[in-house]
Formats: sequence, structure tokens, C-alpha cells
Amino acid sequence: MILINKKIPILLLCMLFTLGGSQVLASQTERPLVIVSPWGAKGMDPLVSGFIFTRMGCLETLVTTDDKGGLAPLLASKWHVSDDKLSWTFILRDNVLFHDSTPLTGENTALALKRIFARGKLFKSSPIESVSGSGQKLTIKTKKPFSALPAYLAHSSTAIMSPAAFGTDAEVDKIIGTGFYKLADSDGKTVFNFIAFSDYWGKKATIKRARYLAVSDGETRALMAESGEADIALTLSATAARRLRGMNNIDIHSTAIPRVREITLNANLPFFDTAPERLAISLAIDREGIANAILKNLGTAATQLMPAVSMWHNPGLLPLSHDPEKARQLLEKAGWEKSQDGIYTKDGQEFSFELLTYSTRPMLPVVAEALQSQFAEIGVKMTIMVAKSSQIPSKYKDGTLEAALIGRNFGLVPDSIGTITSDFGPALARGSWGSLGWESEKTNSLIEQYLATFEDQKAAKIRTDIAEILQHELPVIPVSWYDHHVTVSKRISGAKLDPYEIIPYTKGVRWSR
Amino acid sequence: MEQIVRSICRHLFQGICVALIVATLGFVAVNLTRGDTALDVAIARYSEDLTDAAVVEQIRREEGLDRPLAMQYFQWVARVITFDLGRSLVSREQVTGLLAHHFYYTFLLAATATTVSILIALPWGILCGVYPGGIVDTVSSMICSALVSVPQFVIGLLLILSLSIKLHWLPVAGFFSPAHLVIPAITLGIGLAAVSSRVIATSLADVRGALFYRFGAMKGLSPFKVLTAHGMRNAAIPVITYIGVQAAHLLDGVVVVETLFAWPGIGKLLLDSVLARDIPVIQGACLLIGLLYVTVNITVDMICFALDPCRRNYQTTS
Repeated sequence: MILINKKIPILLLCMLFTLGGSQVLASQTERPLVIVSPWGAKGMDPLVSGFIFTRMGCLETLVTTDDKGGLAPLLASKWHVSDDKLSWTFILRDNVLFHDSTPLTGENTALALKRIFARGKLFKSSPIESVSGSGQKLTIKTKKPFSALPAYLAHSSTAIMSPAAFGTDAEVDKIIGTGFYKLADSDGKTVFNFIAFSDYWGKKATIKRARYLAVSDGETRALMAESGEADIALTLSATAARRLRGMNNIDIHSTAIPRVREITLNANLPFFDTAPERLAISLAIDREGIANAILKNLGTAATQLMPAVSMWHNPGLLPLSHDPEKARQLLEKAGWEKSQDGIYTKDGQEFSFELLTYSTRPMLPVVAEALQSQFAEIGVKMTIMVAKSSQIPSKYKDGTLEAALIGRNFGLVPDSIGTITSDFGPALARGSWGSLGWESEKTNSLIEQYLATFEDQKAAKIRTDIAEILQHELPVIPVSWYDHHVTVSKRISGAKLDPYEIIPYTKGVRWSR
Repeated sequence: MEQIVRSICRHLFQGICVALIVATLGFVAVNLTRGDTALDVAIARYSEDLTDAAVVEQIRREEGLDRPLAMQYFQWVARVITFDLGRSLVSREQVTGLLAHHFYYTFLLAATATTVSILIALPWGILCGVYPGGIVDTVSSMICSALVSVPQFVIGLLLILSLSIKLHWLPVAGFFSPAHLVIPAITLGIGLAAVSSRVIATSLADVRGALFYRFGAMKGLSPFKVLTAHGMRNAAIPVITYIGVQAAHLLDGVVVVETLFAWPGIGKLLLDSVLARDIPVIQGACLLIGLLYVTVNITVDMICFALDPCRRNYQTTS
């Protein structure tokens, strides 16, 4: 008994020393750079989860963007198009090695791209005809002029992997890229650990290890930033960003991104079939009020469809404004009369519609409520239906969609022409998120011209013209732009965030102390 | 022994039937709800930005979602017989692999949370049970009511704010070391301990009023000896049954806690799969959960059988 009693303190001391020793060892081992994001992987294939690997600096695309959103070379050092505008030649960088030490060549790049063009959803309606490679040269042929091709090749799903990355049936076996980090291990879903690649062709990573962790709850990401566990925490709510702004161990980076909260309308309905009626709806919206009170950033109030970070933004346009009186006048001019209960009516039909929205983008239902009360002020009745986002394309397809409040991404690739075509282009090229029942011959023709234009000035003029049409016709009604709130720990320096979310978070990052 | 084997076989048969019924109900429920499975899968796989009618139709074709529902269901049953649960419609991973990955973390959390709850509840409940109606029992009853009525995410956030943000003792979220397990397990364990302690206290108070307990004291055994030899063993049976139910509840996933602590458990997997209409994963998870309940029931029955001589004698004589 006495022996046991003597042993207990000795055992406790041993445990304390062990714990203390492990703490010392832990502090001596360099911690990884931790990036916390809401998005987990949907599998290891870069076609669906490429954003994780490109944004961690593990996989690289042929083209990237510079700080201002313009195109910049990455694996392709330069590119040009043939005189007939149907053949693109990309010159690949010399001395680039994949993580398995295979050199980057035209042949293996062509092999990777063939799979991407065949299976990637980004290219499903693009006019790609063939791809071939030899030496450091890669040739992509198109069926018709396709000026946006380099911008498309900046998308994460076009990241180039080594031939050894693919198994049978061209399924992805492992991630073997060319980036400054290589994948060390992962659970394939929420956690990805990377180590610095010593044979990287460019500036090597100064932090030896990096970790990507998917944390779906925004408040948890904010708490991880606050506790110092996350070096970079992505996509925080405006409220969390505001709360963390005063903290002395983190910086808040708020970047405007080319994503827009907009009302998609069914122009086949009698309420939205004319431009003055759509303008009346737009004039009823107090965008500054919504931006200030709900989104906590006055700068997010949309004055046109595209935010200033987009090359499609047209600073010459008359900004969208809030003028309820003018809205009423426009509706009355269009034949709508106020009934006894204060709702506009025409031919016995109330100006009453359903707005469908979804909660996976948390601010949408709140903004919808604000819109409901603002529309009620001018005599328009709107009911809100919060459902799964898939209800919108489903109702769009069968034509029963009346209106929807959505968050639309115009920054899928640096040039928004793909989304513009899908939302406002010819009926055959339409997706399921843009305007319904609205079509403009002039817009269709401008889109076609744009895709065949290779001169910057001419392309800029077409963009201005399209933006003008969208501002005057309002096939969709912009409400607010998005801003992306990110925390960056003061433990690190050199972190830059680009609006198109293409440049790796880890690029140029180093420990600051 | 024969009775035990017969009982296990009965439970297993019931379990397989229950699991199949639950998985079938999952399939029916998902297909009865409004919406298009191919569309939901497309959005979950490629995001809203890359989803359009062509992508949806391709998924419908590739995944066989254009076949009649009855055919889809019976093909699934045929696969299950060969222990093949199919592939996830969203990630294309084998469902068995997905379930194994998530179940490992769920089991880890459930086992730790149950241990934490037992460690707290046992002394607490015994103390209250030994002095029923006393000050300790009354105060503890109030504390339990308060703890049970506080939502788990509030307890979790309070623990994060104190232990992670203020004191920097433990990490906020993730699953990289044993330290990551502490706050989620305490969050779950505290609520469970509050209820368990009341069950222990009530059960012990009942036992202490029984004739055999008083007889033990009358024949000269010390209070401690009566408590450990006669009280604890008899009071344990309802407690173990209750803890078994709690453990089964933990094993089928605790979505709020898993979301708050970024813990990759089965609850979060099931929630994401329901939102994405990932039918093979939903069916696989339903099967697993059904089987887990049966396993827990069998385990609880076996422990009670070992502890309770009345049950053994009843089964032998019957």
C-alpha cells in the first residue's frame, strides 16, 4: 500500500514531464500554414475539386491572372492565335517538372487537356476541335473563333497533371501537378496536407508545410482565426469580419468579387414583359439601404450588373437608383392601377409574384425580406419562397419560375463572356440561371462578334455596348455585389487575395516572425 | 448460453429487417420529395455556376437515374446482397469507404463523449442517490435541468470561447490530434451526464429502498459494502439501458456538434447527402444506423443479462 502511495506522485511527475516534453517538441517542429475554407472536395478529380489544389499552389494552369484580373502566363510562357483565328499555339515553359519528376511537355499537356475538354463541364459548349502537343509547343484548334480561350484556361478545372496521375479509364489516381506545394496526404474530403516542392520551376515556397481544411460553419472559421489556429480564414460573414476587425493578431481583407445578388425575372409574365415595368421594380429597390443595413458595406450596393473589379464594368453607365415615385409613375403609364388594398392591378390581375431564393447563401433570404417590404411600398405584392437552390433551374426549365433572388458568379473565368452568353445569349446557348423569356437580337450579335474579336479595344467596345443593353433592358435586376471577407493572421506576411480567386492563397506567403 | 445465442439471432434478424426497411423508407422519401435528383446531384458535384440542362441530362444518363424507380431500388437491393453499396452520386467514391471513414470519427466521438458522461454522471448520480432529497440532490436536480435545456451549440461555443480563445489550451475545430476531441466530447458529454446522473440517482434511491438492500444493512454489512455489493449492481441495469440508448443516438450522428467543430462524422455526411439527394449514401447510412442500433441493443442486453440474475433465471426457466 505504502509502495503504491509512493508510486503515484512519481507517475504524475513522469506524465507531466512527458506532456511538457511533447509541448517542447511540438514547438520545435514548424507548424503548417493553415488555410480554412468553407468548401470541401467533391472527390479528388481536379475537374470537380481543382480549386483546392490550384489555390493551394499544388496544381497549375496554363494561364493565370495578374493582380488586376488581367491574363498572365503560368505554365504557358506565351500564346498566339493563327491568322484564321482557329488555331492557338501555347509555348510551354522550359524546365518545369511534375511532382513525380516527369518534365512538362506538349505531349503530356495535350493528354491532360484532352481529358479536360472531353469531361470538363466548363467546355461543354465551347468550340474546341482538337488539341495536340510536341516539344514545348501545344496547339488547340477551334471550330470557330474563340477569343476567350486563354481566359478559360485559367479556370482551376484546367490544371495540368502528370500522365502518371491517371489510372484506368482516365480516372484520377493521385494528384501530381507542377506547383510549389505537392500533396502529402489527405482524407480526400476536408483536409489536405501539402509539403514544399524542392524542384519547383519558379519561386519556391518558404513555408515548408501547408494545410487546407474545410470548415463549413462560418462562425467556427471566425473562431479559428481569432484563436490563431487559422492563418487564412476564407469567406466570413460581414458581421464576423466586423467583429474581428479590431483584433490585434489578425488583418481583415475585404475584396470585391465578380459575384452579384440579382433578381432573375420571367419576362413572359405580364408584370415583367416590358422594360418600363422591370425598371419600375428596379427603382423600388433601396440598394444603399440594403447594403448598409444588411450587408454592412455601402460599397456593395449595385449600380449596374458588373462590379468595378470586372472588365465588363462600364463606368459610363447611369447608375441604378432608388426612386419609388418614378416607379409608381412607370407602372401607371404601363396601365397598372392601384386597387383599394393598395396593390397595382391590370385587367383584373394583381401585380403579385413569388420570389424564389435559397439559404445556402445566408444573406439571400434576408435581402429578399427587405425587397418584399420595398416592393410593398410602391404597391407590388411579393411572396418569398425559400427552397433548395436546385428549385430555380428546375422551375426555369418548365417555365414556372416567376422571379428568383440568386447569387450569380460572373468570375468563373477572368472574362465573363461564358456566363453572359449563358444568361443573356441566344436561346440555344442559355443555361438555367439567367433571364427567362427575354432575348435581344442585338445582344446575340454582339456576343458572337465578341467571341470572334481578338483586338482589345474592339472587345472593350463590345463589352460596353452589352453592359449598356443590360442596364437599359434589365433582363435581370442587380441588387448588390459581393465582397469576400478573409482574415489573415499577422504571423504571416505576403498574402494577396485576387477578386477572381485564381492566384494561390499560399503564393509568396512567409512567416513574419 | 443457448438463450444468449437465440437472443442474438433474434436481434440480428430484427436488425437486418429494420435496416432494410429504414433504407427503403429513405429511398422512397427522397424520391417523393419535390425536385429532380439529377439536378441536385449536378449542383452538388459541379456547383450552381457550372450546372445547366445538358449537365443534368448527362448525369441522369450516366448514373441511371432515368430508369424506373422500382428498377433502381431492386438493383440496389441486389447489390446490397453482395455487400456492394454502390458509389456516391456526388463524389463517385465507394459508399462503404465513405461510411467507414465517417463512422470511424463518429465512433471516436461517441465513445469519448459516453466516457466523459459516465465519468461525470457516476459520482454525481451516486452522491445524489445516497442522499435523496438532500441539498446536494436538490441543487443537482436544478443544474441538470439547466444543462439539459441549454442547446449543445451554446455549450460548445462557451467551451470554445473559454478553453480555446481565452486560455489557448485546446484547439477550436478539426480532427488532427486527441486534443481536438476534448471540446466536442465535453460538449456532448455534459448534456448526457446531466440526464444520466438523474437516472443513476433515481435508480439508486429505488434500490436503497428495496428489502434486500435493507436486509444487507441489517445483517451487519458496512454502508459502503452494502452500496457496492448490492446497490450499485442492481441500480446499474436501468442506467446501462439508458446509456445504451444515448450511445446509439450519438452513433447515428450529432449534426450540430459535428458542424460546429468541423468533425467529419456520419451525421454531417447524412445531412449533406440528403441535401444533394445522394441516394446510395443515404441508403447506406440508413442501413448502417439501423445495424448500429441493433448492435447497441444486443450489447446492452448481454450486459444486463450478465448483471441481472432474475433475467438469467427467467430465461432459463422459460
